[in-house]
Amino acid sequence: MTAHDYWVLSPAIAMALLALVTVSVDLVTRSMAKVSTVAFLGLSAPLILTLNLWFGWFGDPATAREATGVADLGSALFGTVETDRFALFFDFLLLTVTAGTILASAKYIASERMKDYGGEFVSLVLLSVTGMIVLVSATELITIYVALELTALPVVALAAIHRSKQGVESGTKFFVLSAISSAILLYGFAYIYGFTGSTNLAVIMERLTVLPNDAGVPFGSYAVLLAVIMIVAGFGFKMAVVPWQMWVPDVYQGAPTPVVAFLSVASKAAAFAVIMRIMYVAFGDPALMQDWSGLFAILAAVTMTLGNTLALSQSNIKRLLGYSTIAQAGYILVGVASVPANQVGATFAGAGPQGVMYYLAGYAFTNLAVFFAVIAITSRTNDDSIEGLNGLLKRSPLLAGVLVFGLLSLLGMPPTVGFMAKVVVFGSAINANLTWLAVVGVVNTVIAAYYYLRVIRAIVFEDAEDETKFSADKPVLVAAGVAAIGAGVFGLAPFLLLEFAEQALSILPAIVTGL
Amino acid sequence: MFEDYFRQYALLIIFAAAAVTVPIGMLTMSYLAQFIKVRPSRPTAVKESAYEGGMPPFSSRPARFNFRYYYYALLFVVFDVETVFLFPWAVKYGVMSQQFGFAALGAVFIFLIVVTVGYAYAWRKQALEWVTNDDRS
Amino acid sequence: MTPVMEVSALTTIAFWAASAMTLGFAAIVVTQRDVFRAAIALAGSFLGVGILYFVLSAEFVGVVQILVYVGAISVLMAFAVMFIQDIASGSRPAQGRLVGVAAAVLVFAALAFTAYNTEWSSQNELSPDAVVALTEGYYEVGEGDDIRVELTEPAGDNDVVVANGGAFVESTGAVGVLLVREYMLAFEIIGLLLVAALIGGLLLMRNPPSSNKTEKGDASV
Repeated sequence: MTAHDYWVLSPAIAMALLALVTVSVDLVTRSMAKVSTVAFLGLSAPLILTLNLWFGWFGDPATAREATGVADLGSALFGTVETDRFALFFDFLLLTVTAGTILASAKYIASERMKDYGGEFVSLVLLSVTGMIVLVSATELITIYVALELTALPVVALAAIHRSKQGVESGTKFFVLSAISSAILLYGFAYIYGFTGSTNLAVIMERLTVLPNDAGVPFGSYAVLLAVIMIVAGFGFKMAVVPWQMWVPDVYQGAPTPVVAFLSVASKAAAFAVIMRIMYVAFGDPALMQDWSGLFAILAAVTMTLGNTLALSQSNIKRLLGYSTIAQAGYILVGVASVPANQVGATFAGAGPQGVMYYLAGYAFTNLAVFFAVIAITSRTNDDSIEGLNGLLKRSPLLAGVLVFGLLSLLGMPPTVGFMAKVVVFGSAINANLTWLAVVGVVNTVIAAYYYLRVIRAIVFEDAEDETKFSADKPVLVAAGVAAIGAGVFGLAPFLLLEFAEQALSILPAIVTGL
Repeated sequence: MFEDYFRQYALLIIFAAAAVTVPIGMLTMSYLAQFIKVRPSRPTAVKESAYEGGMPPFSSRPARFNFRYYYYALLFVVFDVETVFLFPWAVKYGVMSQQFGFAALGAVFIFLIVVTVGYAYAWRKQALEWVTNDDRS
Repeated sequence: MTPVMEVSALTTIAFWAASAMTLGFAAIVVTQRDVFRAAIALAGSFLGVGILYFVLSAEFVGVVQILVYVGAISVLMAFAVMFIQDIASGSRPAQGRLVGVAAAVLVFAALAFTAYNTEWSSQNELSPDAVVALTEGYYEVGEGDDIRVELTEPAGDNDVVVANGGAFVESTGAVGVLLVREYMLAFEIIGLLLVAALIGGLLLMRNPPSSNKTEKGDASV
């Protein structure tokens, strides 16, 4: 490892160190407040290092690159990782989400129920995030796989942390399905390696253009076709898209709410980041792009429709949000499917992937706001049915406001970030000649309105049985407020985020960015 | 060199074959012996019962094990995997230290430090002790 | 094209024997109703896979398979089964067998079809020198990042000269070099993964705070 390698990997190294330090702190102190404070403040180190690499505060990585003679931007360790702006964008998002999760669960960690597990809770969250940070910058299949396992394994333990019947069930389900999806994914990787003889994404792309291909078969050969299907299937589990969505409602209902908040946002963002990187870097040839665009378009349509339809009949708020995240994953997939290769005009060059990044960031803040509000409410009312939210506006106006705002944003009501994101994503679909997909998306938004508005009606118009007022603990309130404000700002000023997303799209092949 | 590669396993196969044949052969011979009246077969209920320290068995159920054994099994797996990763490095260390210098040691050193944190966790959480503080109190 | 690797009759026999062993034991695992016997059969299946690795001349992976899976994971499973009461009654027959069989057949058909209809990347694409280096061994000359590879030992060189057995002959050493170079990051992440597994595993095994009392009352051997 050269100094350059350390520099490029600094956010991941800082994150790994923080996770290990948190484990150690938990061993010497019994105060959970100390553990979560260390974790929360410690997160600033990887965050600063991420921003540093983006803006080049302490020495531009470019100059370090010239000195060491390594040609690629931010590539390290023989090309196994690449800390480019695409990775840094997601690093920043993941770290913010983690900070929010730890802040919002401060009270939960210190509670009597978590007395002996608080430290483990924080440590496992941080270990999982370490995996994600490596995952979004990994450019080599073995590193991607190992990092993926590191993101998934801690979540299994987190889901079952209370050993309640539901918790254990959700943990077991997540574990078994995660293992199966990993096996499928590895099979796909093995086929790619067997066909191209390399595990490096960039080399795979080179070889695929050189190797003889059969024009009659999608992706040029059966091996690549099957491999791509298996890779998408493997990541489909993490992204929670149909038909690998069956774990979502049970895990969302059974696992502790802070874990679900983390899972629904961070895991999903990391999975989308890595699938985009694999697709654009290894299968970024325009001809291949069109093939996998079709695959994602079908997945997107099925996922949105099924997620929204099943959400209609739910009575538990956490289950409902589970189906809602499935539907949201479907909308994001619309952006993944809108590849630049089959677009009509030249003006929307990076719109599909850019839309995905904008949608993911907006969705992250919105969903966190909703989940934090749900944490705050259910920790007081101990009731996670939708009826339990009746008359919330009178009981806790602030939390009700955050929840309603979040739900409206998930629904896609202007001028929220959810609306802007949908406009960008569906717009890119139309530009990419996928008008039918955009229509399916709009129809789905209308279906979704039914169940989101049902919850909002319960909050605003129904009368509560118990009229006592309550407020939330400060940390949760701060976290929910910050998330909601973030969602609001991104909605009112979408160009802020879109600009960063555009800069981050360095992973796109040159033929696209050159437009 | 390469042709010899598989040939070296021929010895292993002979060994494996012998290891399988001998016990199976013994059991078969014992089975066949009863037909020539060398080994009479007169089963009784006492003979067929499970041996439990010379006492009549309490129940037909398999004995229950203390759950603590599972801690050891888990720790064993984790540190087994750790050792497995050290082995190929150790095989090549002499060569690598000449070529890459400290880097060859550094990578494994980081790995060991990381795993040691896990070990410290197991130690502090009393996973290594048979009788824990919870039991004493 | 003549294949670089000549497959001897012994290798062929070993391959089919190991495959039969793997699949045979796997069939027992899915049909056997006694969980303990299924676990033992699974260990046999693992052993078959281990032998397959040896046939593919990946000794290190083969040893790992036997050490970790046949040795450790099987013990873990045996323990887990022993903690479950009423082993003799066996497991319920799985629901939806037909769907499972259909899915398995479909997946197998897709994989097999692809495996036969693909021209896989192979040693035939390597240069003859590279094949000799991989099979017969090679010499590395130099230090750090400036290493050049020679097929014969250079005479009178002042640099560090290291003899290698070649990846197909000495795969363990080759893995060792990869672990501290190309896959160093993956190697360190495996360390973190082990820590996560340890924390998660011990966490889930600890007695839940509420049921402490009932656990202590249990008769244990």
